Amino acid sequence: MNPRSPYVHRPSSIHRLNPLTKGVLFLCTVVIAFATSSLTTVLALLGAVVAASAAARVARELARTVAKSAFVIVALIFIVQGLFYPGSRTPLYVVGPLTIWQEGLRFACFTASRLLAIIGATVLLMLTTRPEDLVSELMARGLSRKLGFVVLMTMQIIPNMQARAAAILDAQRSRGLETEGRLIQRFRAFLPLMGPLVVGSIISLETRSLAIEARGFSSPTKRVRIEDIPDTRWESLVRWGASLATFGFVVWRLVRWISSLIR
Amino acid sequence: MQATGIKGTAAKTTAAATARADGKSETVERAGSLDTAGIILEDVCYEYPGGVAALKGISLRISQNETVAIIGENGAGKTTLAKHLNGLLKPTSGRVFVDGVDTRGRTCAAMARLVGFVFQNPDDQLFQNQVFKEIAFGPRNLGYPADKVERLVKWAAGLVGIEGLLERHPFDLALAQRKLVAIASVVAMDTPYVILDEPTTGQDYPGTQKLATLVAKLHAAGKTVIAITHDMEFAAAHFARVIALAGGRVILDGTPNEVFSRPDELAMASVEPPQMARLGQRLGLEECVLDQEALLRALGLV
Amino acid sequence: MDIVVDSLTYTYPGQPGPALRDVSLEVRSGELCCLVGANGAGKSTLCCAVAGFVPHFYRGEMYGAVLVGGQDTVQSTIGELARRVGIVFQNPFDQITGATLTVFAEVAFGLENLGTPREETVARVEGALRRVGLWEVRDRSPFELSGGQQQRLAIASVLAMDPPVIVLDEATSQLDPSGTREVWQIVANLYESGKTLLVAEHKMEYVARHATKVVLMEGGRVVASGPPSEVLGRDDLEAHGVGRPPFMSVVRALREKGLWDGEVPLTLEGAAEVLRKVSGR
Ligand SMILES: Nc1ncnc2c1ncn2[C@@H]1O[C@H](COP(=O)(O)OP(=O)(O)OP(=O)(O)O)[C@@H](O)[C@H]1O
Ligand SMILES: Nc1ncnc2c1ncn2[C@@H]1O[C@H](COP(=O)(O)OP(=O)(O)O)[C@@H](O)[C@H]1O
Ligand SMILES: [Mg+2]
Ligand SMILES: [Mg+2]
Repeated sequence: MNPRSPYVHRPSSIHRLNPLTKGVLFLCTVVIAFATSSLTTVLALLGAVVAASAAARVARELARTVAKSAFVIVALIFIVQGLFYPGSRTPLYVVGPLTIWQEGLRFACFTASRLLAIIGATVLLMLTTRPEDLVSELMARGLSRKLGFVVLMTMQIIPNMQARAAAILDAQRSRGLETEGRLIQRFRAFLPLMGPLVVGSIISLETRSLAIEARGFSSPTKRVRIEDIPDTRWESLVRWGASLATFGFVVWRLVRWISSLIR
Repeated sequence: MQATGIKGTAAKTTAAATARADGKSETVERAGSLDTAGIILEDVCYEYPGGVAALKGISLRISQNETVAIIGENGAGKTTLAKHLNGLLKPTSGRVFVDGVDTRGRTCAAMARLVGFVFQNPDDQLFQNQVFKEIAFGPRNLGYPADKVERLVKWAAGLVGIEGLLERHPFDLALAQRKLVAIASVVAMDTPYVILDEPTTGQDYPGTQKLATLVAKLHAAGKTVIAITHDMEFAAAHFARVIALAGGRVILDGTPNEVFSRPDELAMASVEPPQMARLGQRLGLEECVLDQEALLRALGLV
Repeated sequence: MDIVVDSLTYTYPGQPGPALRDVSLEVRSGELCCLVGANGAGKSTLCCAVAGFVPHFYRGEMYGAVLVGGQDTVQSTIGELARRVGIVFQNPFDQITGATLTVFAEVAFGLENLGTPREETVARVEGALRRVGLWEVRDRSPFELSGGQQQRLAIASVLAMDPPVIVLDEATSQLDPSGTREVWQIVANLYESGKTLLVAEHKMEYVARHATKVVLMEGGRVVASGPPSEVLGRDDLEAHGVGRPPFMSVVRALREKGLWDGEVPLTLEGAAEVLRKVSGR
């Protein structure tokens, strides 16, 4: 495994899918998750992501990464919405001065599932798709070099930040700052670093782009990959089908929304 | 000029230092023997999470106040070894002791009081937005009062010759200067052990001279200095002991004279002796000569 | 393909003074030109100017002109220039694109961008990796390499692209002694095959042995330029921040003692020869 890239190589049919297919399905998931207001739909999306990750044999990696990145925010959603959701009427539990509301919990469930579906889909895409493949495939279909470059750099932002953060932690420990052990200690070490972390990551992205340019990325010739990225008719069908279905879903939601406004 | 903190350390370590001033390597003693001072590695193996076996059974003893140069091919495991000395990495098997303390039982931050480590890549080490703050970071963590921190910063910056850069942003400096900042930020912690990973990389001639002086001054202050280097002239001239690594193992260990008179083993570690030694060998000299003076004397030209 | 630098003055954005001041330089096709000088002398900036990163990437203010193969770098794009000029930057840690997941793919990346046919790419990548001794680790992630291995990777990436002009900015700084020798051997072979080479280097032993022309820089200016015997033979070399190779110093010491009045050789073997003659061994 590459320490700077979440991609995990496994022999699976999901890995073998054309990157474009995965990209389209990812986008569809995100769009539907944003457009819907039904818990069932969101749970279905989440289920689909989990099922796909199992098929790709990366369920454990997915769970770990999602848990790490979403734990705090999901906990916050439950606390804040459970206690303070406006318009709550049905108390569920009373703990001292605090009341946990049923409406709040339901809304928290929905928001958290939506968030998990989106994060899950993103992580799944990164776990099963090499950035280079996705960008090559997009560029083979007419994406400009400039945009390809942007996509390539964007996909590096998070791994880069992680690497930079790990480097800073090592640098701090080696100079006597306790970064291991209790959570609060780790937090104390980390908080003042957000600034340098961002600056450092930007600088390292800049040097990466320098390296990419030096390798002729903006050369006017057409890129030729050493590996073919296979694509099939039915994959193309899936892409069109999913896109149309998503488009239909969004239109349907818009119509419902507008008609509810009129009424 | 020395900060007072240095003198304290010097006084503390002189006894141990004189005990083995010859700087020769020794066989590894069992931990728990009377003399636990110094760095002891017992059959250390290390495997990176990805599965690369970087160290394959290293046993070493480095005494207090020694100056040691570690040489060897790219990928030999030098950096990996160095990261074990300050507890940044913990051995997969085997043990590392620093002054009798097992690194497995300590956090890296706790080890930092004893062992200062300068990273090979300065950009992995520097994270503050001002050179002064960067150098002060270590001493502050060690809990020194503000006036002592300031004194240590000035002292360390002076030693590597970057007094003029204290107000600058590290990222605005050239690579070689950032390396010097990284070195100063570790030297300022005034630890009894200082480890430098490729300090001379990218340094020009005056920069290398300055680093040589730094090694001498740290040694005179009673510290143990361990430097990884690919510059054989630097290793031969400024260190009392040279250790050559290849493929995760120690293949040579001794004084520069001993090590550099073994061209065949050195070749295994992708290393060539310094130029004077190579000249001597070409001219069929029996002994190993490491500087111009010695070469001319051996040839009867002085 | 030759390089012509014509009264180049360049200031990095936001810097008080220029990093290069009125630099003129000509490296003809099939020449091996070495840049030497103290840190901050402007070697890297000049290297970047030849590869077009100054001013295309760094911006800043530039006067004068840099021509590579007769074409003005300011008029060309970085993409076009990458075909003609390959550059290994001075910091090995900065040269991994991050776009690829294996050492093999990293070296192939440049060739893919240039549209090289697939079979040729595969063959050239293998050749380049073998030449720098990284073939064994081809399936590893570029980030799982030691510093020196990363530098070898950067060199291999440029070798594989096989451009007519090659710029190496302290490309051997982290290499072990054999690695340095091997890379310089590669450089010498490239020179023999007619490439134009511009090499910034602190290891004077190799500059003396291989350079056809040495350019001494200080404070953004060219102080001296000429054959290695002339530039490295200057009495004030150290004052310009450049250390003389020890084997040359030995022979100079003999000269001072009046024991030798011939040339100061440019290779260690040459120096051994002189010592043999003088000492009668
Ligand atoms: N982060 C890492 N993950 C996996 N393997 C690594 C990592 N860093 C280094 N290695 C590998 O471990 C071995 C030892 O590396 P190390 O960095 O200790 O070498 P080194 O002797 O310091 O080399 P150099 O002179 O090039 O700096 C090498 O095979 C290297 O490729
Ligand atoms: N990216 C940069 N931004 C601003 N100034 C720089 C940058 N790179 C180099 N400089 C400055 O330009 C001058 C020449 O530096 P450089 O070309 O790196 O010299 P050398 O390679 O000879 O060490 C120095 O004063 C240096 O500080
Ligand atoms: Mg190393
Ligand atoms: Mg430079």
